[in-house]
Amino acid sequence: MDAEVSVPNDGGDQAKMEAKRVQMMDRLAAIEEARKADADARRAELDAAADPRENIRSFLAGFEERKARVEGEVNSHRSAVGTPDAKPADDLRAALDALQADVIAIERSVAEASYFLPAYDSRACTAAVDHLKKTVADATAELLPRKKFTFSKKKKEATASKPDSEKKETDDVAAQLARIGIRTTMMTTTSGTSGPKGSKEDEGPGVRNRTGETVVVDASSAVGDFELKRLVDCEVYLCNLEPLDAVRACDLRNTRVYVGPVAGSVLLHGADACEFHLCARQVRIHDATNGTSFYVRTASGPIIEHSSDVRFAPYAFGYPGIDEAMEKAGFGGADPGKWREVEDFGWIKQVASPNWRILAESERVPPPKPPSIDAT
Amino acid sequence: MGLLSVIKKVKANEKELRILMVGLDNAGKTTIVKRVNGEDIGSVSPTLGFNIKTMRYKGYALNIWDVGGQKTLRSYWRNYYETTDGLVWVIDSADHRRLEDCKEELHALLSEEKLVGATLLILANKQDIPGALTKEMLTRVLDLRKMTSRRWHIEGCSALTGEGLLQGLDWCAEDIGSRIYLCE
Repeated sequence: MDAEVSVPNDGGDQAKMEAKRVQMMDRLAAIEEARKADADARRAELDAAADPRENIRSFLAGFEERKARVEGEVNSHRSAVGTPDAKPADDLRAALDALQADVIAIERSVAEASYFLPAYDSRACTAAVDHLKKTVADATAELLPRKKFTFSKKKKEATASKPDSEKKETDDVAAQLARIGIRTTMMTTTSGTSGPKGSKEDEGPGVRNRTGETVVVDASSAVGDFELKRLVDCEVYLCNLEPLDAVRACDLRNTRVYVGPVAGSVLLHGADACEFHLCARQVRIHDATNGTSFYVRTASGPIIEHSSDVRFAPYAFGYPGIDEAMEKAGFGGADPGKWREVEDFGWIKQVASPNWRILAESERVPPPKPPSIDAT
Repeated sequence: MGLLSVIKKVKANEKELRILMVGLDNAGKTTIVKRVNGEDIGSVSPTLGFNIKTMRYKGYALNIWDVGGQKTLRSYWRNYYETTDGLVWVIDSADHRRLEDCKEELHALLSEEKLVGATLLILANKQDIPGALTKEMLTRVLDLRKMTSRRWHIEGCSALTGEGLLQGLDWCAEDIGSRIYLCE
């Protein structure tokens, strides 16, 4: 073009110029051809690489088709109600469940396609799926209301019948509990607030609420779990011929307690200026104070908790028949000396606990001979 | 399917269950653990701190944490709550005097957030002692029916005779096992 314009009247060179022009045009055409071929190749490559499933148009067409099918089926179920075509409830439920599953499948396909769908289409599809879900759910609620009804009925039956049997059972248990002196009135309170003190009735073998007495317990009544409770200025002799299962003592003041072998443990809660003679598998002492002394024999070290100023010494109590009872309780042979291995749970330091000490031999008081039972 | 069952088997073999044993002092926790393990129970001493026992049970490795129940130790219980699969609450069924204590401690324990998912086994120990409360009585006294959302079970037992211990442990291991499989 440029050549044509710049040399309009140069006749001699015209043919030459024309040849040049043709040559140039040919080159341009060749370049154009090459570019086109290149673009075609690239497009072909892209088409080949692209996932056919990621075709937006085909996805949307498929989506519409599936949506229309579900809607059509829902409508056919609705219109069939009351006509002879109506399916039995079970079939209908299965059909609706299947539709629900279809909707969920459609929803999943939308979610999977969301990365290649344009934003608008993705939103539109999600909204359509929500609508579809609602349609199926509405149809289910409308066509199968009985499902809900039977469920609540069943539940009602279950809850209605339960209290009867449960009440009877708890009444029986309450009666049994009352017999052994445990009140159950506080059981109905909902919170864990401490119930009335009356729940700890004074029942079972034991010596309780005495002041200034000497009590010798008959060997035949010293069985199982024995309780010593609220004793002041007393002296208690428990000359059991069979090993006791456990001895529980609480709230004792200025009282001396002499006990034969215990197969289980001795539990003490609260002792002030007392003296104990104990032979048990375990001795657990809580809240003992004021020079309370323990003459003990145990299979494992005695323990103290929340206690201060308590003393320990070996067990020396005796009465006719104690050797056999000790043998039965597993205390045959010589004392292994565990009585001095006291553990203080309130003292975790390396140095010795200041809360207890071993009674010097000169301080130890030999236990008296138990008075005969006739004396009481 | 074949591979899956093999993997499941291996997992079950490795499966460790962490069991926390708590209860008031003198309930018999250590004695129960020793009894189940076949150790001597004659010289059990009150637990100052805790004992850990690992034992194989029905294809599980049970890690039993037996924590002392003395009052001074109870405040440390919370250090053991983390990742506990099963909780075993041991009761001295013959100790009528401290039932109220026992109930309070138990319900306080169950309100712990970290133990919400744990299976609860209650062992009503010392059933051999005359006058011991039965498990039905304890269910009533301890208000166990209040627990509606938790999986729990009460078993009467005696660490002395060994009666009831394995039934309780069976239930516990099975319940935890089924729960863990459901999650997988």
